[in-house]
Amino acid sequence: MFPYHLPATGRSSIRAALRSIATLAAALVAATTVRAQSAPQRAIALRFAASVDSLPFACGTSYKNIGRTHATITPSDLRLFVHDVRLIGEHGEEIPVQLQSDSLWQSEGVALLDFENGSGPCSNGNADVRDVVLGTAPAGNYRGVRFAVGVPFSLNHLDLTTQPSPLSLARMFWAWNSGHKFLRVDMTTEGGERRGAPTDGSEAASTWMIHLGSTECMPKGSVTTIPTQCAWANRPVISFAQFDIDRDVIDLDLGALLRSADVTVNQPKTAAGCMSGQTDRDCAPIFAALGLPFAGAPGGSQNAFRVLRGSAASAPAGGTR
Amino acid sequence: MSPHLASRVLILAGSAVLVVASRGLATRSVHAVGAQLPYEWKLPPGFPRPKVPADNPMSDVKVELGRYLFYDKRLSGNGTFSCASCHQQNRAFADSLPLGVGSTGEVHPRGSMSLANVAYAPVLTWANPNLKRLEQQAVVPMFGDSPIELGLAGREDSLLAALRGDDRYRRMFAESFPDDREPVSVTNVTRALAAFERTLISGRSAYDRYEHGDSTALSPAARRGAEMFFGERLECFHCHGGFAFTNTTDYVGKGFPEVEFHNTGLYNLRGTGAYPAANPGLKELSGRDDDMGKFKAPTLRNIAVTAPYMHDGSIRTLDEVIDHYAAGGRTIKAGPNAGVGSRNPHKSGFVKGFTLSSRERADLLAFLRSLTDSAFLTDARFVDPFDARARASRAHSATSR
Repeated sequence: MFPYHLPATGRSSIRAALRSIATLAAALVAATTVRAQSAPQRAIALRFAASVDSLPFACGTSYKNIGRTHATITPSDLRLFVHDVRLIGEHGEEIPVQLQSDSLWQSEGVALLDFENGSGPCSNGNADVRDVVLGTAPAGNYRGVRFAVGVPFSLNHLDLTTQPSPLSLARMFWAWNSGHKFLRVDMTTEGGERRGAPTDGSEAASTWMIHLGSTECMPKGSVTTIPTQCAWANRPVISFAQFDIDRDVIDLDLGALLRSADVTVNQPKTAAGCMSGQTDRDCAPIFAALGLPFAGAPGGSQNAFRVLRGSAASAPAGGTR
Repeated sequence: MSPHLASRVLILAGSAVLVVASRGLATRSVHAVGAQLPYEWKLPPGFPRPKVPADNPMSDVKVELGRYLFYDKRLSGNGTFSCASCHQQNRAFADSLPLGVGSTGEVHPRGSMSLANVAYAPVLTWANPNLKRLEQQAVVPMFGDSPIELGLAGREDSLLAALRGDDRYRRMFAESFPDDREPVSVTNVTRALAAFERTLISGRSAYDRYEHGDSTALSPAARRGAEMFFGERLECFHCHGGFAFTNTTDYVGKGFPEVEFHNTGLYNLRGTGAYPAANPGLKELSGRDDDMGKFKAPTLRNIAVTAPYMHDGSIRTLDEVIDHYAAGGRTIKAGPNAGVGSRNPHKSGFVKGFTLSSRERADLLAFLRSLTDSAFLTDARFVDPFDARARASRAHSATSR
């Protein structure tokens, strides 16, 4: 792979190798595209939305009755990566969607969805928002859709400054060893109906964050060590058997995501909220809502994402910028 | 004019004539070729290309002009101060005062920030989301009157006359701005200063050498400190992450510039969340109550040489900075600023406190010290050209004798 400067050190070599794998994967995808293009193609615009129970998500809005203690939350960030988007055909076959690449919202088969608009408590974000994943697929009759939340392993542990946008976002990244934040939900919390002090040793919390990503990546070595695997991939796969690609919208419901959590407390000596660690009990209800295994509990079906039927027809979706 | 200044000006005038005489025509033809070539940044490993405004492209001569202007005391109303008075190379282009002090002695409400890697900053100064270009920022210290920094307000004409009367400046402005009918202008002063500032790139610390493959560059203590710094127990890296050791960055190909402001619980006056009136942070411009006490996370590169710390220089040592974060915010027991910072309602969720053993504290300090780029602090490209000339001249006269 000539374009890559091959340094002498082991760590950098692994990084270069990972990049090569990513390039190879991209080339294979491209080759598939060329073959598939003999069939008529159609544009795909997979619409997304974010809500909190029955209300649309908006920066600066406070939402009541959240979680098992019916607390009030005020979100300050909501972004997520999506990849491996497939359409489900009439006989259950899965057809990959080739994602567009604009080096801004989408690159290398990964798309960013961004529901914060930089206003009010979201001021550490930016004005640009994005609620659609754009790509192409062979024309055909499709009845469902599935996708993975996050960044694929081959792209997840690279040097941020060498990555095209949206993989260049520092706010959606930890370090090379731990990779990207797949989903970021930040909020302040108040109120709640818990009576007395928490019985499990938790302490009161007024800030709660969900930073989903891979954990226990090995080898560890240091934060700049490039891992060869992560014990907990934590990439939720979301699948809807019944989905009209032209009319329906995929909605991330923070109310459902937080349904079994108590956002007014935090386990001591762990990150505020859930930052994906297996020892962070605050993650248990979040991972369950995303269908992910956690600390001995097997993964199950997710309930954080839902389908809004026929919502895409009326409102044109898209990104601002 | 003091005798000292007078002799310096004489030396300068002499050397300027020499330069003009010896370079003459050759300089012009070199420049014509140079204009075709992209600017060569000589970036440290792993550093992306800085963004440069389309109306102020980089060139070697413009950077050199900017260096002269940066160190030239004629850029102050009373001839006593230059940019370098508050941005000193051996302190990573910050200074050692808690609060900046201007040419007239007026004290600034905030401390001088390090200019290391300022080329990557999408917003400038401590808490101004609207100040986005170095060219635009330069006029603040030059002409601002609240506070007075360089004190040039109302003195534009005499500044420009002085620069036009200097052969070296006339030549350098002409070569830096070849399309301008009158190249010596306030606008071009700010452009040249910005071009020089963009070259102040620091990325060759011991930590950088370690990160790029030299496993011997860091002591075991500094390596343990790095693990804590980048870990979820201390949470430092969430705001001071990435190649710039601050998340507020932009560069060529980044896509989205990123800008963050955080309240770290430094104050909590009367338990209301308030900061001292002189420095409310982002709220001063946004007007939002929630933005009280929010400031930009500064780079931690060269942090060991930029004491005292925080926007108002209110923490003297790195050790005490660690105390502040370990407590999840600073408690001030008495006086007008009394309050429990850890309970500031606007505080970042990442500042939640931690406990460190004495060895862990020493490890963390060792890591922070490993971010000092000593080559940057002495890089000949950034030194005071007037001082360098004076030294060269002294050395020359010593050898001729």
